[in-house]
Amino acid sequence: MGLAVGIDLGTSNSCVAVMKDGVPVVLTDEEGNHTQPSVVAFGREGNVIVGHRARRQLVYAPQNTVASAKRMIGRRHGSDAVQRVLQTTAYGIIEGPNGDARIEVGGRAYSMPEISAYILQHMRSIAEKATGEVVDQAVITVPAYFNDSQRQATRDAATIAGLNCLRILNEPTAAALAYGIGKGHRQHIAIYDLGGGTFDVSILRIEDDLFEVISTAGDTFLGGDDFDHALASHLLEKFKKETGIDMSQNRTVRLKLRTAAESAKIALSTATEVEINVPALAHNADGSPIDLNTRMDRIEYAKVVLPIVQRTFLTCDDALAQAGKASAQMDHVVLVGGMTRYPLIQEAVSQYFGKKAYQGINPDEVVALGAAIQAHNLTEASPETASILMDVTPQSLGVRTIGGFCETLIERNSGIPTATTKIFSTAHDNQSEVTVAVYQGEARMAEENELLGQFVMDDIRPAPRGEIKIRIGFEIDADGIVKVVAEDIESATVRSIRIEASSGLSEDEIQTMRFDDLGF
Amino acid sequence: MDPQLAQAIEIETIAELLPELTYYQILQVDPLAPTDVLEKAYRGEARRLHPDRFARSGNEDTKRLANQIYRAVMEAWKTLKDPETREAYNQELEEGRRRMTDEAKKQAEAAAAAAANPIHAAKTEKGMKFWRMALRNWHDGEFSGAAMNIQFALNFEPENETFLEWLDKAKNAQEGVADEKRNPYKLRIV
Repeated sequence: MGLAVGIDLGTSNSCVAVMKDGVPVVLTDEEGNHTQPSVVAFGREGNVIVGHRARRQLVYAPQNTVASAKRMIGRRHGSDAVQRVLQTTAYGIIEGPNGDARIEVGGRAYSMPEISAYILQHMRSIAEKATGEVVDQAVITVPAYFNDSQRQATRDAATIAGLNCLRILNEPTAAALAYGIGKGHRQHIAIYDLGGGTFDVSILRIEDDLFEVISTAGDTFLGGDDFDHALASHLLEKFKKETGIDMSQNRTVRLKLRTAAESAKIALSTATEVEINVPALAHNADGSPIDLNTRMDRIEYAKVVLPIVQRTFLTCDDALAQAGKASAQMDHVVLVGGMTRYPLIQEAVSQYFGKKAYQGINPDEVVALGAAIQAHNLTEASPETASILMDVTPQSLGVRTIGGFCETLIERNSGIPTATTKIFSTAHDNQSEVTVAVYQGEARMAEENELLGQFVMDDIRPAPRGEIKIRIGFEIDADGIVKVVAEDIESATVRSIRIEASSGLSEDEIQTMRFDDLGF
Repeated sequence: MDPQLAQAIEIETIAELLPELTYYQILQVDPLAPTDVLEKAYRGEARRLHPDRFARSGNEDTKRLANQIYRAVMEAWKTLKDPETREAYNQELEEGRRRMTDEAKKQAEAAAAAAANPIHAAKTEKGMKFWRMALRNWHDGEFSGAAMNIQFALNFEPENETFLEWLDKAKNAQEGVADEKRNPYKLRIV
């Protein structure tokens, strides 16, 4: 067995860390970079570039450069998530054979797990170069609010990259582990994790070496990108007001403004006012360029992004209510994720919890460090010294019942691993099959939740309705991934079903995608 | 004895007994023990039997059984931590069932959830809207706003007992705040 590392596979940036002499350390590339942009660029000769070099290509060859694949992983092509990303990308996104979203670059379609696998592979090779050892196992982190399909797709990405995925770990939980707050004391902490594309908040109880997640809530549609998007839209509107020209339908313009918005955001973290200049945003009738020149101070910026910040606090309300705690009962508030570097967020969070939000470890690295600790716990640490993580499932698991309602079988924030069983019976005389549709989400109507998959028990012997009983067991493992086992009580036949999400890859597909023999 | 082997034997023994054990026996506590004792026992057992402890065990059987026992520990605690579900379980025990039936479990859990989390108290959509705002006000310490929003919510659900109870709470809290404001030593906010 090779070395086990922790990988934070982020929306914007990824990071890899390993335990060294009892301390987790970030592994850097040859140029000393601690993190890598989660960007994959495809060259003309079919070569693949990942990380900083790929990020540079984003500017001049956006049609061959994939960023924010994490926003689409485990999502159906028709989903809002994918449609939203489609608005901002220069490459094509097509529907895959399983209804998943695939990226079309250079005449080939890539599934999201493949794109993520390129990033994992890149992180792995950085780790191997930095340590001089073979790396073949990893704990990979995901947003706590990721559903089954997204977790499954992430695990598939690891398989494609030839990594043994020791655990799919929730990002806020990983951060808590890295902080190790409360060792020896009993404390409650809130982790506020605002990354490039997702937002999570987790409430934990920590006592000695036991890290117990009480509740988690999140929004997989909310992150740093949304701040840039909001400012870009604001700038477009401003430009339209001043010049009368509407450039909102122009992709290149949108991309330019997004970049300008991101620079402004970064500048405003230190400066109180910035100048935003975008040359040649549009052209006059005679072909002369019209530039965008404007100034923005922190107060105006805060106004533009206020609705987004407020959305994070609604999610915090929810997590606290689920934990049965008040914000004032938190002993510590920890900030995680690149976005929490901005004073705007730090102040707002401190105000919400009524105490100074804490940020002792680099928010871009803390998740990878925690993942490295867990990788060590699962492979090398002696059972006596390893800390124990008790995590929860972020969304309720249910099945569709008559009338299209969703019957909850495993409630959100149940500790994992967990399992439950339900007995289904036939609704009609001589019914020959029973279909079970499995959903994740909190809505009362099944259709409003995320369909994880459906499966059919067939070959049922003809009988009056209600006579045939089928027991179905639902299990959520430590990775937060769902497994379903169906048993015909009468014939005692047991079938294990891996829920193949409508957006997922089949086992065969994963095997053919594996990088192993590509010499990548 | 090799500690790993000892552990494996212990796991096998507990797993074999599992169907016969009550939740109290699973947690190894007295049926009359107070909640904090149960909680301590639960954490001890959860820590000891957590599946991660067995991640490196080569023995798949031990892993599977440990997982099973761990889930039983979790279930025991989930049932016993809340006085309402614990009471319902004690009832089941008296009737000779060591595990609660799904139906009884569900009912008790729903009642407990409603009691623990007031957000579920609203029964109508409009009532819910104002009720949420009221709880938010309460959370922010704006008790007069909370009282007002509960009044609005009561327009849609005049009989809702939770609403009425919280209206009293909000009014009392409001008076408390007013008292504080009268305190001559307190700084005036301009």
